Amino acid sequence: MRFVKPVIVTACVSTAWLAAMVLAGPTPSTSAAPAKSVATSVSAEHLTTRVSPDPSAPGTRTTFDVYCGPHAFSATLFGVTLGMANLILMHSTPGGMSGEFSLTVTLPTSIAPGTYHPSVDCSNGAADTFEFSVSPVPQQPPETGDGATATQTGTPLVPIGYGLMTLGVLAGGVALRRRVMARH
Amino acid sequence: MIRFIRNWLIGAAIVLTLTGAAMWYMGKHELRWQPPTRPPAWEAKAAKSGTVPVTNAKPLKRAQPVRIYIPKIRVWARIEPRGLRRNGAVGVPSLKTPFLTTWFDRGPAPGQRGTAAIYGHVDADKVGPAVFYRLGSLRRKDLIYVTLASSDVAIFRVYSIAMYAKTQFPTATIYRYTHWPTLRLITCGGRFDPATHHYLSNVVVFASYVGARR
Repeated sequence: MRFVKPVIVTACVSTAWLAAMVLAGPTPSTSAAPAKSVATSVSAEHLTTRVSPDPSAPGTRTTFDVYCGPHAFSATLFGVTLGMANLILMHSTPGGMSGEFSLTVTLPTSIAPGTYHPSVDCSNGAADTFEFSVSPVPQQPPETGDGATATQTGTPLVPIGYGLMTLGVLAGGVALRRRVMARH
Repeated sequence: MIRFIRNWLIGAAIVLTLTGAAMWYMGKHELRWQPPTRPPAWEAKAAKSGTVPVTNAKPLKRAQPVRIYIPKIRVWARIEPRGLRRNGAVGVPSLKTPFLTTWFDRGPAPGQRGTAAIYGHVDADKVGPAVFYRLGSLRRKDLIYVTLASSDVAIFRVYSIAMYAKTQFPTATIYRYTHWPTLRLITCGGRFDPATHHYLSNVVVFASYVGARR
């Protein structure tokens, strides 16, 4: 019985923590300036986390790496923060150390730009929060031109043509005038 | 003598009037500028496949691009940073500064890992051809030099060039993250719709980082 009590307490604490993380939902902040290339752990002492690329972008394949420490046989990412499935099982890193896990996901195209804090939970009890940024991506094609080369002639031929025709009319007028004067 | 001058004047009047009329007609109906060059369809293959040529050059740290030089199409232009507009479109230069280019400053910088994007006008009122008028003439292996505020010059090599209808603009293909530094040069192209005063397509040049020099 002495051994059962701590187990029940631990289970209750873990459940409460899980519920809090799930209910927290997406928490993007407004600052999304691309800055660092590697996200670092913020809470667990022996836990190392990394996001690549950081900043990422909507629709981009993004890799989350975590080192849970020895004796960990699985790790779970809380994807609800990113608009994905709630619990996503991470995979053991091929060729990596024991306790290393990795997960590559395609961020939803609808994800809002900002700073995100998804969590990871290791089977050895370690837990941590990633921090990484999602940069905005232009959603509309750019408007770069007003059709000047497609619609305007922009040529000096028109005024030159007008000038020559005016000279022709003048020359014709002078010739006719001389003809009239010659008759008189 | 008077008759000779009179006949000469009549002849000159006829020649001048006919020549003037012909020039007026040509000026009115013939375009001085050719429409912007359309890239051939086969140049878009590499962009479609998503394969990015990689070298062993070292990617650069983030620094604001300040100048772009493209020898093949004789472009030597200033670059200004721009963000996004409220409608989700990227900020582009004003039509009053048609020889200026802009860089999407919310994304990676040229030479950094990822996809950097630079925009320029294809044409503009009163000047005709603008800074990226000949962008469609670029071909694979052409070089692009981007001078950064750090004094580094990031060098890119074109690996694809494509034209996309604005109604089917492939945002993911163009802006997706690349693990190698890449560059996109974007302008308008294709058919111009006089009713909406917009081009119906965009020309996009895909280039990959090959190194840097000081």
